[in-house]
Amino acid sequence: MHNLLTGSDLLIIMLSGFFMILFAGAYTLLYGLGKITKKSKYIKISYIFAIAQFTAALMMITPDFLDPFWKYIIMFSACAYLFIPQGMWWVVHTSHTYWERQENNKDV
Amino acid sequence: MTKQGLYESQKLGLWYMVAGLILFGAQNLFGLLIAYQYINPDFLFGLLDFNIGRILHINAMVVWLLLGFIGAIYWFLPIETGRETVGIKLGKLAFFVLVAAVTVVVLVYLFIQIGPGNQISLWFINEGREYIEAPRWADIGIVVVVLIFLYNVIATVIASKRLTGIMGVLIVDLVALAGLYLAGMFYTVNISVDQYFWWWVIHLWVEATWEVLIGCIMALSLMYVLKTPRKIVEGWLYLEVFLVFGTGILGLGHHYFWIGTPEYWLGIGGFFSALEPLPLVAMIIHAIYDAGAHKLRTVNRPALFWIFAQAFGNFFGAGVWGFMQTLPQINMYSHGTQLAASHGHMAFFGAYVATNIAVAYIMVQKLRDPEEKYVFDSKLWKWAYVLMIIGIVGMVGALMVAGFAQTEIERAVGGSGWQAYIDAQLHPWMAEAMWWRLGFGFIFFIGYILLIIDLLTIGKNKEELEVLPEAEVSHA
Repeated sequence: MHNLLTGSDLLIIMLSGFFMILFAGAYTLLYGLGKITKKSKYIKISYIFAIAQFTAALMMITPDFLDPFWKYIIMFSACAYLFIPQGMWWVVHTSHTYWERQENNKDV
Repeated sequence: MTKQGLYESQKLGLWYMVAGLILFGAQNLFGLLIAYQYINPDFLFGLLDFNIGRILHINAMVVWLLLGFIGAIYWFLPIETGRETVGIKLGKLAFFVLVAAVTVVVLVYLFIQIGPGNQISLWFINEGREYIEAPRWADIGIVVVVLIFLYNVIATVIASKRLTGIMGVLIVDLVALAGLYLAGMFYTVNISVDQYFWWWVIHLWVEATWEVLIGCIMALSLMYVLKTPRKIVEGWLYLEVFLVFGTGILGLGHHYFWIGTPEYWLGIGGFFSALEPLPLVAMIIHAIYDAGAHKLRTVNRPALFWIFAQAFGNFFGAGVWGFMQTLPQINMYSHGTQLAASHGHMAFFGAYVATNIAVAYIMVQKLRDPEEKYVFDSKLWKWAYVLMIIGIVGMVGALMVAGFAQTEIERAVGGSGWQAYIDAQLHPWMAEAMWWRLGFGFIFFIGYILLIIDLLTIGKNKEELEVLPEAEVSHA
């Protein structure tokens, strides 16, 4: 935390953070699109962005810019982003199915 | 009820939205003015300086968004509770008081502008705190209006004997919204202490209470636009409240990094800020699921697309642009540069502006097609939608490039000296970016004009509209 960054360090770390979240979003978007349209090619492409997201996180932590505390936080986030699409899909799908069944039963 | 079948509360909601959209126009105009003053600082120098234009640009944004949110709640409240809002006359009085107060404050900003550093200035001209410059009398007025609004909501829910999940979340959130504003109203001579509590208003309003308020409005909108079952939107709302409050409240720490607060805020702020994009990424899944499950079938296309703009804009603005500069190591250099402006523009547009526009379309549909026999649509909204998105993305991109120049040249390389500041300001990345920002600002403004024209005309010619299948016509 106490290391001062140089101009180029700063640029690397900022852009890596930017692309880490951007790729996490692209991964989530394509994964969701693949599931909803039942097209596996979207899901396969989404995994490329998952890898890209993780790579961007590695680019933030591999150089000696940050203390271990910050490296753990970034790695925790990067790992969480890997499983968010699947986890959230399960939550959304399960809750929709459950409540739609409840609503239909009420209508009947 | 009015002849269109509107409750008085919905009429009041409409007034709020109209007042908000007019202020949105003022925000755009002052934004264009100060964008040009960045390029030509002599323009209106001494008459309407940059700092005054900036106050008006930002305050107009805060107030118009609040007007829109309040309008949305007054609109949905009778639908949710099945009855007219209790104390609606008081609510209407509060609306006129608020509009009059905003007008007086704007006139004071324009014609008196600044005063000496004494109590008279603080009470009647400008409180002096960035983003919440409203003089003290107006501050008190805002709190009174919010309390009346809170009374309207609580009394209506009690009278209806129907406390839904959404209303429960909304009431708790409104109490926090009114309470937190008080934190911006007391004065200390210690700048660190002052900033510490000032952020309670700025951060906790925007990244906690506003986000939850938007969650409530989105839940109500989705039930209307996509006919999503209540249990689903309520379940999602609880999850969102958990995630947003879980990460957003202590995410406050990312404003405490370098203002003289204890060092532990670096860890707290960094940790929770790093988690803040998680719920935003998760929301993408929900947006896709809802869109796909309903195959984009809706009664109101512009509202639906503005809801999508909200989900993705919130992710980009708050998530991507926020995370890029949220670690304290980066924030030490980027704080207060155009990167912050870039993040702010995208996040406010995505999270809040898009929501208010979606609700405005829902309101207009009820006015023009009370029985919901048609799929609300037009050609013009698509132009407005595309131009506003191109405009905001262009402005955000230009400000980002300028912010990189400042962060690199002025802060990291130049060490934040006066010469370094000038070097950064003269650098092509900064100077040219300001032209790009102005150009995209004009595109955004054209989009705004088209949006207003569309809101005034959409649905008037029924022959242009697609008739909704009989089975889907709402007779509620």
